[in-house]
Amino acid sequence: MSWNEKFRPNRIREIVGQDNAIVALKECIMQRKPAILHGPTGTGKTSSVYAIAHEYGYDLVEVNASDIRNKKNMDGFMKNALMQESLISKNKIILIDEIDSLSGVKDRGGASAIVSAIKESNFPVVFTANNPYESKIRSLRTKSKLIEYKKVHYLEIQKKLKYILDSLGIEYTEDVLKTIALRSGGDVRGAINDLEVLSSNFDHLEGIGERENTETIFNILKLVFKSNEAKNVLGILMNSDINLDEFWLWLDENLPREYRGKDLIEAYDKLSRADVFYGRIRKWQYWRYLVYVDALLTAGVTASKGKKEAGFVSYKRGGRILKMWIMNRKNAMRKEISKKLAKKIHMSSGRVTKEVLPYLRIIVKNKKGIDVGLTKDEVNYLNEN
Amino acid sequence: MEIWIEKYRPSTFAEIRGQKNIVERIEAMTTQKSMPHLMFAGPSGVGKSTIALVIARTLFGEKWRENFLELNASDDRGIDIVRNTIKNFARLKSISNVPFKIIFLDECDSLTKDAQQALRRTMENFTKSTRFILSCNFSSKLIEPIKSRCAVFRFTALEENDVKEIVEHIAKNEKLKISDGTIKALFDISDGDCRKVENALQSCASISNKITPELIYDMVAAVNPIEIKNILEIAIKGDFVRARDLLFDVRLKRGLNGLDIIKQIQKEIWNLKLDDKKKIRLIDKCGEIEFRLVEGSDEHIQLETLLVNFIE
Repeated sequence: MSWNEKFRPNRIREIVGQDNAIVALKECIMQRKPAILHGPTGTGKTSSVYAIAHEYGYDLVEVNASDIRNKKNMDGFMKNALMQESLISKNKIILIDEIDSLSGVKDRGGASAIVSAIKESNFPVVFTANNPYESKIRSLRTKSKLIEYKKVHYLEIQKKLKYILDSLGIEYTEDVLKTIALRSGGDVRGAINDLEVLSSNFDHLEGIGERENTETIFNILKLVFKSNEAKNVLGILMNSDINLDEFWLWLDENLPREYRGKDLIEAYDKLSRADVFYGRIRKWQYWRYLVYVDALLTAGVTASKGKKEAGFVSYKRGGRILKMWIMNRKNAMRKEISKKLAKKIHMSSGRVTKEVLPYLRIIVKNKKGIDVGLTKDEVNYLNEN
Repeated sequence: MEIWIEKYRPSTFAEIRGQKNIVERIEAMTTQKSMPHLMFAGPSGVGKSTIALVIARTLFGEKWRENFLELNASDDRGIDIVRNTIKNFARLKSISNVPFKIIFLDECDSLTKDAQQALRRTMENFTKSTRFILSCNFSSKLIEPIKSRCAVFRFTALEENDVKEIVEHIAKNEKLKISDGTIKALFDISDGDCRKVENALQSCASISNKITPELIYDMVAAVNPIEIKNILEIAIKGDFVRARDLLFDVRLKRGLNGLDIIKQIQKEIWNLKLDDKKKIRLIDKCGEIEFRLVEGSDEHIQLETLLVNFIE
């Protein structure tokens, strides 16, 4: 179970940073008024419906709008769900997720079917939407109350992350949490995913980050690593919609877990060659080279393996980018120091970091004051790092 | 206490050690208050920036700061920033009896080809009112049109005698006791780089005023930890995942780029317990990877590809 499922709020007070929205939502549910919850992803739209249902003893009937393809389908489904009073007579909340993803010609009439259905509903209906101003749900919008979910403040997110690690008994530094929280851009779910990935990389816990594309990447990795014929995997990367950079990180992270010895050397050589083509694409904007990148990353890696091993390997997401980001923040002070010195001693700050700071540290550590215009904090930093 | 690389930076031509021919020729130019654009090429810590600063002091005297603009191409990124700063500086006429102002652009070899083209245009536009001094490690990284607009001076690493004079001067001033062999040790570790000599000397002096060869070598060991060697040994033993994760952490912690790492690996290969055939194969691989590093886009992938070849 991912941490996001494990720590999905059961109580209203566990939802962070959405007090106003929750009051409004509660009101709608009590009065059986349809509501559209909208706002960025990972801010608690679905979670707050869950929490309210749980706390007030409602059954939750969840419908994913993208599952319901057309009016006919919708009619049947909605009428059933909305009209049936359950015999055990527990109240229900109908939750229709991603209502704005009703798409294209097929859905024509889908929205109006929902409108007529909710009119007759005995139960409160709640919609979530990323963009409530989508024209195809206009009719729905006028009948419902719009409730906005805002990006969650990073301090709230940080508190949540802290709570999770505390209850799992994992050690951490506040710094890391703050960084993850800041980086999430108000997306609690994203932050929890990052936290999960990071902790598994730092402490060698098992666990895989829950990403949108995870499953696709997983399957492609499995195909690339396990296929017997290189031709079979040719083009699978191009034909999927996964981000190439992201796939690259996954491949790099997991390659040495799957390949050994000569196979590993050969496979890395393919990655390295692919990277050269990638560099050339960036430099010259000559995108046809992508064919070679693709072939080397898929068929190239497949062909590098002498003997295929069966058996499941649990793949991990590469934590490199995140680590880099966190380190950069930690190194901000060092950067400041180097920049200051650079001006004074006629060097670039990069060179100062590499060539002068190591010596300066020793001088500072030996308690010799050195007059290069550093603040107390900066001297302390050199002393400690 | 001041940092010695600044405190002992020469401020006149006479104080400069090494680069005799270059100093002579440039001093002659400054006496005539006339010079072309200059290019200084050579390793670091051999006097390129110093000579540029001395030129400014000699030409402009007290007012040298107003007439001398120092930019570092690898810090002041973006040719647009460089161009605007240069434009603003060059627009005002020189406030001295010298008919031009000086722009010193350090680490020019970090400019992209496009940026170099832009720089070339800028040089042309302001030739009347300014002189450029460009400094770089490798002149081969600069495009021909720029080189042909400059008088190129090739700087060489300091010789043991230069190091001796520098160290003795500092020792006298700072009341250090220099024991036998120390100068040779300093020369040894410095690769003829004056900055390394002075930094090592100052950090040793912060421990004791008796400077011995042992102290120097210990200092260098403390400053350049043997992390890379450890990582290579872990890879040789076959724990590749750990080796590459450590390598990544070291890079982040020390702010080293791919090239820095390859240089260190190259040196360490000779200290490893491997047969000579394998060592040579690895050196060859270093070269290949260095080439790919320049062409490619993700340095870490390239370093891993190198590292994987160490597995026995």
